[in-house]
Amino acid sequence: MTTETFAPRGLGKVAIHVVAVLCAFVTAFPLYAMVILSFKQQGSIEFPASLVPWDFSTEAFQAIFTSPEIWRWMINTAIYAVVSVVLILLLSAMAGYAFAKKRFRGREVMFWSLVSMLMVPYHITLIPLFILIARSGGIDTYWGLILPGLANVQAIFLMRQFIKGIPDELLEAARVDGCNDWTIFWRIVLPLCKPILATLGIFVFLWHWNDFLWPLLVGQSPEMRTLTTGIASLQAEQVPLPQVFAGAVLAFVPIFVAYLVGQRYVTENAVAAGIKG
Amino acid sequence: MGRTRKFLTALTVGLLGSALLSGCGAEDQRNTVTMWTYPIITDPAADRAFWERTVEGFRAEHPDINVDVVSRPWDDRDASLTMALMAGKGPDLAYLIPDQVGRYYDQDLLSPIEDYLPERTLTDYRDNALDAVTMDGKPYVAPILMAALAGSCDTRVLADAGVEPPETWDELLAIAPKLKRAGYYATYYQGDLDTSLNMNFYQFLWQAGGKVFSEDGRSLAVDSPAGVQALRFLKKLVDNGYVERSALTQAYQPDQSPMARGEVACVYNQAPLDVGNAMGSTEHIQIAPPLTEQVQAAYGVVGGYGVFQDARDPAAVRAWLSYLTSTEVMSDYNRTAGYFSPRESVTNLYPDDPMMSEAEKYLDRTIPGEPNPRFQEVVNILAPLVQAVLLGQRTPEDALAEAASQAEPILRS
Repeated sequence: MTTETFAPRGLGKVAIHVVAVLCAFVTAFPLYAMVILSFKQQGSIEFPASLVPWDFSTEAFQAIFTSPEIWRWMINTAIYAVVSVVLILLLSAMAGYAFAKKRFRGREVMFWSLVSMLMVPYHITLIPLFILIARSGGIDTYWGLILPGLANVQAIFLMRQFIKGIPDELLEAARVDGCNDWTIFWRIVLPLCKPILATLGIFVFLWHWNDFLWPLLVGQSPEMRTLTTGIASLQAEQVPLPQVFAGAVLAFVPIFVAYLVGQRYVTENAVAAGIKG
Repeated sequence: MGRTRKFLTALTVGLLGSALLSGCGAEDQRNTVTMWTYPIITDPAADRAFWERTVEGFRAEHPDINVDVVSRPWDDRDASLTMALMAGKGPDLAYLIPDQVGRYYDQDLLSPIEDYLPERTLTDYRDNALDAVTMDGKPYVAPILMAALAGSCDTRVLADAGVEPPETWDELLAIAPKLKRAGYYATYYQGDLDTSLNMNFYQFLWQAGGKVFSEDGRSLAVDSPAGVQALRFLKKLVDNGYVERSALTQAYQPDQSPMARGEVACVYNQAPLDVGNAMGSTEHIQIAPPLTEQVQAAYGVVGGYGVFQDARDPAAVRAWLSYLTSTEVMSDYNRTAGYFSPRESVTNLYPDDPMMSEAEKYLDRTIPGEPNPRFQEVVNILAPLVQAVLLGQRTPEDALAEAASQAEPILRS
């Protein structure tokens, strides 16, 4: 039996590098433009003159950071995003473990009923959910902001699919060694889920950091605003382009940092998915 | 294991604690007025300062009434306001414009403003300001500001092309070729689907002598000779390159508009200060009269505060609204925000500003929209059809007939 390997040579190698460089450029250019244009003064943007990295101005950022409450909004956003990430990952991992590895009556019906909720548009459940939270006293509270998002069906689905891939023999061996369900979950399942938890964590963080409508509805007082709703409450109907980009930079930086932190696990997850596929 | 448990316990205690603490803040709502407003005063510091001094002034007269002015974002304002009202957590009053009045009136959420304003204030309002917020003979918003979208002409462009500001459609068409030859657009038409029809098609319809709705508001009146005439005129502007074609589909971005590049002679769909904002300064703006075909008409928003039926302390709201619409506060508000007063006795707000003084003359020529409970649904039908005509995909007659037929069941429901 012979093994064929694909190893491009000569022109093929050059072509692959050219394509890779082009892809990298196409991916990086919008990010570059966003950062550069956020540091430009208000005025007509011209291509390519406005994209040169000089004549920097912090005018757009100053306009955004004009409110004395901006730090409060940042803390609120961090609480909203971080607490949501921790709880969603924990709860979805638990639910995913139960749906993937535990046998109980109605498991499949319950799981697919939950998954079918993905097909219900968010805006249909928004009004009853808001009324429920409002009447329970959740307006202008952290729990009103966080609680409704905790049962995240997408996260449960992904966790269940990932945990299904863990061999049953591994869990049986742990059980033979005297582990109970709780210990198996904490000591075996959760550590094996690090790649998917990192990927999911980044996405959940992203959704919450950039979320607008729910924080707008629940955070009615200025003290309970998040960064997105707080900044929007300062802006006129027509916002100059550098301010739009400055807002995008503010939204991008935490996600970028979160990605850098979890990059190793995300890559592992992608590689693992590739191997399985 | 132990550390994880400790963390989870701390997290749970923290969340419960925050929930309990927030519950402790329940306030007595008597003698408290909650008002939602938006960044109408575009400088956040000036906005904050205005509301602080206004509430302070009110509290000096009414020390027993608390006023909570909450500045909310423009985005999703109807969704958040409607849901808050439905959940019983809405404000006592909020900033509304004529386009919104019909919807809240139709949902039985608004109270007639006559119950909240002194007679001397009500009778002092300009007719067009009050008409714009009137449903079934009763006004539902206390107007506090007005705008007049008269022509804002760039003096540099006029001088360079050697033309005078037009006053009629024919005059605009007459100077347009000369402007085009000099490298300028005659005017500006923002035709993307997010732009209110008040600010584009409707004002030309009104100038042609047409109306959007029939007298009883239960059918569409745009399918008329005036509607066709307005669309043909606009099509002529587009086809001949007298307006920037990309603005028919792209969202408005003031600092990227042709006004910012000094390429437009006269703008009729933006307030002068907004045009100045796009141009970077009002230094080169000359005010021109609103255009005339059959009628001299311009759009001009009327904004004010509507009181909701669930207002917790009507007497306190009455006192606050009377103060807010007083001549002194209205003058201060409009000078700070760059608008005009809807009260006839509050005029000449900008004695040292020739541009604003000139624009103020046209307040009586403005039409602040045609209030109708189905206003937005009609815009959703009509806007893409108008856009299709200007892009050459439909004929004016065909598009307006289809709009009328699509809108009929909605308006009759």
